[in-house]
Amino acid sequence: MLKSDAVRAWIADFLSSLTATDQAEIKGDTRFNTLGLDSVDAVVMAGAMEEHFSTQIDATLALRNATIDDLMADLRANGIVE
Amino acid sequence: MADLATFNSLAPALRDDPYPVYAALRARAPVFWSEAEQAWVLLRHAEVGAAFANPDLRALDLGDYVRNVARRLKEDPADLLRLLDVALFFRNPPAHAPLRSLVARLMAFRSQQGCADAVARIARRLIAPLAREGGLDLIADFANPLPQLFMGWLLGLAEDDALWLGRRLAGVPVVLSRGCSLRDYREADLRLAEAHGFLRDRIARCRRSPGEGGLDLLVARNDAAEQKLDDDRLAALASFVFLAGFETTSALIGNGLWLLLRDEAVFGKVASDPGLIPGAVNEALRLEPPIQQVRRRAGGDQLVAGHEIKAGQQLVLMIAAANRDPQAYPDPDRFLPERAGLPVLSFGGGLHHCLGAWLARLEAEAALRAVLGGPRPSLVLQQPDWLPHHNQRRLSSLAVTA
Repeated sequence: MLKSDAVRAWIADFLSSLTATDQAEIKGDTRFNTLGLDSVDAVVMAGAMEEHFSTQIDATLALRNATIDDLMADLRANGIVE
Repeated sequence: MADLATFNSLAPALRDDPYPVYAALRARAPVFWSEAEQAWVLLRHAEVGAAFANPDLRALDLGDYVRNVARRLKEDPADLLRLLDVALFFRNPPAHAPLRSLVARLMAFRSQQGCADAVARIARRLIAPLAREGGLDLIADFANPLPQLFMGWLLGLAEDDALWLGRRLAGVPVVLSRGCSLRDYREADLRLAEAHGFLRDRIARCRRSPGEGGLDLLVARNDAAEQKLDDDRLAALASFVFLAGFETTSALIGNGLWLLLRDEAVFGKVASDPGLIPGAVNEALRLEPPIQQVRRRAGGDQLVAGHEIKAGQQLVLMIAAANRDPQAYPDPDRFLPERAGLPVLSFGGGLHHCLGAWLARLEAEAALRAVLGGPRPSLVLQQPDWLPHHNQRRLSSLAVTA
């Protein structure tokens, strides 16, 4: 299982560089929509996460959650993150 | 599920039994905007039926979407894109009509009786091991190969080739799911590259020594047309037809058998009156539609059930909910093969009404007839295992004993 802190930091970093948003502005409850994330981005993010952490992460996880907090909870519920 | 704005059909809780959730939502708001879906969700028969018939609501082109993903990653899933470019249900006018007419020719080229005889032969042969060996998996051994062999017969392929093509193409429709992963796109592209290579070879063979199969017809029609498809596209079209011909039909057969076998009274009723078989297939289509939802994009501003839908916004046409709308079907959750009434929405409608709908019904009726005519199968497991796709309703297996 992946470390929670590492995954959270990776997601924030990915979103920050993808959407050119200051990391400080990306909070746990910031909605992906408001960052300008679309469904292509979400699929690409899941794919990049999968490669970075060498584990299977379905793109549905990224698409069915609206915030980092929701996504982290879902990853935990699916036994991907501890 | 209480909050309409956060409704998301990708929620895992909807996988096994989405219908009570749709019923509760429909009672509250038959049409609503979901932030999570970034789309209007339509749940009633009236609005979903009207949306299918409205030419100003356009199909979403999955090819454009996959191109965007591929561009981002600097990849070129050439065979997947070729397939999506000929996939009729994603294409809008003007690209849509010439492709549709070519496929319609193929669907109509054998007589209905000829098709019925061929599929009955295939169904009887596939079900025979149940009596002979005492058990089988109605999905892997019956519902899956039946339409593959039938489409093979229609195209004029050898049985082994049809089954090989079926194995290559199985699983490719996962790319139709919202939220499928990059690895799914890559896997689909690899599988399609093999299938298309095989079909290009067969197309060349059709030209060298023309035969009388459906593929020969497709090649001859295309070669005589003013605007010809090149062989890459023609192979993709043949693979689209094969795929569209077996994936949802396999799902329909499996879903229909599950609905019959889980209820002894229903099974007994249909078994004692084969005249009810077409009605049983219709109920299977209605209650467990293989395609649960499709999306459209509004071309211009629309008014739907009093809601203003802006040009460019997306709509989810929830077939699975509309088919159980109590305003359209009294007592909507019951399997009543003698039911009459509004047409089910499982084959869509309007410009994109399923071209193979009559073949799918024919195949499913032959499948049910073959099972009902043999020893009564008993389910090994009482809970079926649905494949994890939010927009495709299909069992992974259905083991039975005689």
